[in-house]
Amino acid sequence: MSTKKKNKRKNDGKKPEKLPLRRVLQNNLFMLGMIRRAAPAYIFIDVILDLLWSVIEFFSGSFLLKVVVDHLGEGGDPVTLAWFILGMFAIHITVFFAQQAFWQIYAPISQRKLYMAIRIALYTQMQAVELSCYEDPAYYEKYVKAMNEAEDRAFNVLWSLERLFGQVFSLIANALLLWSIDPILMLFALIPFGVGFIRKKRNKIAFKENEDIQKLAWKANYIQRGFYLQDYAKEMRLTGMSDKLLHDLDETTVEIERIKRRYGIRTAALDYTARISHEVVTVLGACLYAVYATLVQGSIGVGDCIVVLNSVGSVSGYLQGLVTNLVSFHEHALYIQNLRAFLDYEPAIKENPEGVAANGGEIVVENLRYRYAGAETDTLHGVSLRIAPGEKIALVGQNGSGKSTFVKLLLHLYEPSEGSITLEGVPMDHHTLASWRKSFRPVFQDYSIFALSVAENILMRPLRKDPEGEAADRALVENALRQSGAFERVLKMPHGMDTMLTREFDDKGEVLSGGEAQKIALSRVFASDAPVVILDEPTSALDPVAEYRLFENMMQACADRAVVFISHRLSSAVPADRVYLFEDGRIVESGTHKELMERGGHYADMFRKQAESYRATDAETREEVRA
Amino acid sequence: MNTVAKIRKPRRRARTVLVYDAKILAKVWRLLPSYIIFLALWSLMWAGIDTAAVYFRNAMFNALDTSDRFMDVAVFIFALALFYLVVFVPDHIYGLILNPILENKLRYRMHAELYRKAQKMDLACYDDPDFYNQFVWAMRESDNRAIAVVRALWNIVNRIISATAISALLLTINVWMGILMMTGVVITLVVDYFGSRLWVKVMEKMNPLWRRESYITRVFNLSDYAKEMRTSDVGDMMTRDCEDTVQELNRLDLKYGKWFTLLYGVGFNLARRGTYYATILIMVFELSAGRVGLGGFAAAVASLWMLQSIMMNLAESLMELPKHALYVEKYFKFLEHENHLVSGTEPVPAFESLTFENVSFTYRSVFTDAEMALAAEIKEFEKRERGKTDTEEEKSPEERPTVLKNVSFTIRKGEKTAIVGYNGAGKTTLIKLVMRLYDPTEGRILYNGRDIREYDLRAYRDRIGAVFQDYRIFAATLGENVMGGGYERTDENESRIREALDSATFTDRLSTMEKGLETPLTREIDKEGVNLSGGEAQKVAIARVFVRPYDLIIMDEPSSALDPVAEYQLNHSILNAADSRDCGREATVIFISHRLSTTRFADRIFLFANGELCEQGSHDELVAMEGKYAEMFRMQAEKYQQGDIPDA
Repeated sequence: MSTKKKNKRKNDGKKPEKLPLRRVLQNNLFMLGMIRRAAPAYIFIDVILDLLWSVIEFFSGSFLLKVVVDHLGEGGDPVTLAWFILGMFAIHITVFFAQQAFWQIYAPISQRKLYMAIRIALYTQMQAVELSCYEDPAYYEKYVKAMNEAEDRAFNVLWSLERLFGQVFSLIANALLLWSIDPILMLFALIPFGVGFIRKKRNKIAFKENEDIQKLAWKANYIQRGFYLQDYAKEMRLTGMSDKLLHDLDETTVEIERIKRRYGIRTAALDYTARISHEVVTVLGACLYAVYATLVQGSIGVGDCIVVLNSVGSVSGYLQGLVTNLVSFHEHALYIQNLRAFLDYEPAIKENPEGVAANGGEIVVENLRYRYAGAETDTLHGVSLRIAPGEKIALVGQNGSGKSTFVKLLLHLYEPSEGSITLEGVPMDHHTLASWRKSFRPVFQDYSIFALSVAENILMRPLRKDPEGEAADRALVENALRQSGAFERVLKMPHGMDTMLTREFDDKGEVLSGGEAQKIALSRVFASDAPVVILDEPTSALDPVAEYRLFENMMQACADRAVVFISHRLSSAVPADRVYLFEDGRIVESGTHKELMERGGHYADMFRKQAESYRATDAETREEVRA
Repeated sequence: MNTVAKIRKPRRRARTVLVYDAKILAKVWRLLPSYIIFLALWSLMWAGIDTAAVYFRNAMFNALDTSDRFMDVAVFIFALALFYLVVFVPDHIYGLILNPILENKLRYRMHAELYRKAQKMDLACYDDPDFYNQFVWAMRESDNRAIAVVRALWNIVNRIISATAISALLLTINVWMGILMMTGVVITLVVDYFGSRLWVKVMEKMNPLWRRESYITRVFNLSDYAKEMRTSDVGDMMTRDCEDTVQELNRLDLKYGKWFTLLYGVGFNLARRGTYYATILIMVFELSAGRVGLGGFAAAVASLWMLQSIMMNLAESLMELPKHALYVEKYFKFLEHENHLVSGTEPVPAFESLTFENVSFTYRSVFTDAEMALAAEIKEFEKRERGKTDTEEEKSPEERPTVLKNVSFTIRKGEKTAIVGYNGAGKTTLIKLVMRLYDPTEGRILYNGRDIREYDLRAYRDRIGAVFQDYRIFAATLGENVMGGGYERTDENESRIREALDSATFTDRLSTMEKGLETPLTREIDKEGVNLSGGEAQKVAIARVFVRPYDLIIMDEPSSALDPVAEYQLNHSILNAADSRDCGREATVIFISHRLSTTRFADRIFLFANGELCEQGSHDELVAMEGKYAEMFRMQAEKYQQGDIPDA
């Protein structure tokens, strides 16, 4: 939700971009290319059917009218005419039926094929871009929007395209009809172009109005959240903040009213002019001319005059529709621009096809620096450490000291700004990315539980298909569940380890509590054989007993694996082979717990403070605390 | 025509729809009568404009049939032009100035009413995930729906007027044509009815599948999942699931698409085209028989076009109403929802003691069955409406808080009490009972020996200052965040706020703020606002309990976001401040924690497990008891005591 907020914020006050015509064309063709590849027949049938529809509309409308008037005006036989009309009827219902069949059966499936192709392309790219893209607000604004819109946009491009053919046909056919009656009538149809500047001006004003209102709407939206969201509910009741917010809302409303009044007068005047120019000057003007030509000049027959009176409005209507549609191609192009930029983006961290497979061993980190995009200072200032196979390492330090950034670099989720990470002396990027990441099994503080079965959630891959493999996988999951202490809970689930988690897919899915979910996340460690386990504060939601047991199990299960344990609870650092204390992106102290305590530096100081209340007697503590 | 394929409508009983439409109309009338009056005038005006246009045109064609003098015909054109010039003036004034202003006002009044109501709701409602999801959050829509209903109703009125006027005109030309038109309309409505029923069925089947699609997109989109997607093969599984979902959707489309094709491609198609071509045929024979002139024929065709578009629009408005009714119904259900907690009338004396007497508590939904059923229906409907581009995460239902079983204890004035236990032991529920956010299922809670239900609720809660784990910082000034919104800017108030902030160890940070107490917090509204870090925000939240002389202070794990050093300091200052600031009156404090290090200085510690009060006493007593507390404490402390700490 927070990213959504950011988007809205950034959008207001920005002028719409303008793309050169060539770009507009390219972008739309790009999308059409995607559609053509995914569903080649669809695009063809779609355009043909729509064109057919426009043709039938023309012939059953203005043209039929002219045929009837001409035929009977010349004293023709009504029965012949009736057969002609019935023929039209037959064609008309056939086309409509074909169209329905296409739209109801064929189109949804083709569209889905198309969506799927777009989605796979997007998902693949989404997986490939580096993690920092997600943390960049500009990225979110542009690409996530592009991604969310991609499917609808594909559909819209297609729709604009099919309309384009239909509209061009309708316009030309109706214009020819008018032209054949009297070329001067065409001039009237062109009047809307003459007043195009009015529409332009009006759009500009509307844009400015929207800009002004957006800021206030933003505030009103915040107030709304304050009243509606559970997060705020308690404090809204306890702090008397509600009166202030209601007061603010009142002011906002008055302000919006003022803006609406200010802009409303101008837009009303402009719209009025445009409307009159269409309804009165164009349509009625043409009618007047036709009547004049018929009755005074005698250059048009009565029948033709009637056709003109009935269809002159539609020509200028088609013309306006066509213009709007052409403009929408520009709008599509803007979105597709983002989509293309996203799909064409070269990830900074790429799979190295010639890389060697990472197979465990000693990891050496040397002088590692990292600066977040757009930041003024480094987050990590030259961190060096080594992780020997089987070593237990604790990274401690306050929140924001760079521990988590370090882990992300280690997993090659970020590209280091400087410095190196090597495995058995081979630099990180000389390995294949997949094998590099597979040599770690991280559990993050903000782990996710996916809408998959328990077993899949723990293995993080599907169960193997062959019976032997499947049995082995199940045994692996069961063992992991036992180790993490979640086994009993899973036993109680309706389908055991095949139970779906979360209600995203299945209303009968199992919903876990915070502690249970954490145990499932930790089971992933026991089920994997990655040589390095990374635990990024994963035990915060567990109660002390469960945490304690889990910790013991973890140490046992990972006896021959390296473990990197990250925490701001120093008690967890005690059994580690080596402790690194992070401060402001640097390692300020390192050594065993004992060494660090003896040194009497920051670590010792922090440890003492945390340990104090457990160590001192009750009376002493109370006295000290109150002093 | 393509829209036919995409119409989606839920089925509602016609009577319910009517009842709620009438109700919302009455509501809007009460809130802003001028809105309805102007909308009615405008809508009637348009009925007039449409009718007039058809009649003018008809008159013009007739003139063309009967006269060959230019002015006889042109006069109608001039008249229509003049008519347009005049009526478009009020139309535009209303549409672009008056209506936006009135709508804005109406929205404000509806919102303000809802907000006031939301303020008075039992807090328990917010703990109910169904309430949160369906009632509160979806209520955002209610103003749009109210406006849409009123507009749709008036649109229906003006369409019916226009349609009647035009039909009357057609009947004067030919009776058979009128009857044909009617038949066409009836068939179209029947087809629409069956179509919408079929849609409901298809939607029900497709809904869960769409939900899956949107979930999968979210997993790829959201940064929350990004790390794990990269370090595992979950992405492949998600793609696999997405493909399965698509297969299933395709199957459904094939199965039901046939029926839709038959319904619309044959039924609807024949009715609509049949009417059109039959009318033209009738006119052709009338024309050739000389009963109608060329002008009359053209007028009839033009009127027919107009009538068909009006009928289409009328059907759309009619189909819209049931959709809106769903929201409207929810809106009224919300306004009519009765609170379960009823305030007493007794004034609240200064705190002496708080007693739990055999208190048991079971979580129950605050909703009636009817409300729940409606909520479920809306949920389905919303999914359908919002479609797949939705990235907003839906809150999955939380677990019901653990019940409390037969809890009894007493807290006296000045005592420092700690409530400890594992997550889910019932600690937070207990606090909610103390604050009377819920009432106990069994047993009583006594304040100074009297049931808390007898006291005035507001005054009772005013006695208690609480900091919750999930405190919030508002987009308001620092001072307002501590003291409450719109407080009087007096010296006295300011010094109280400063003192409170000082007690919460916020003074250092305050001295770096140029605007002092007037510093705007968060960037939600003010771009110059200050974003506090987690620890700083927590201190501001804690200052709230110091700014007023509360009798009872509750700290629900307030230091969880702090690092160990800050946590240590804060614990000191909370106790100090609580005791020193109250003119000699010792404050009563309840700490809640699962970290035993923060609470061992308490006078009394209550250990909760599975909703029961298992052990109580001072830290020393509990350790000596060698029970659960002792075990828990040992485990937490063990690692620290293993560590070889040199003497300080």
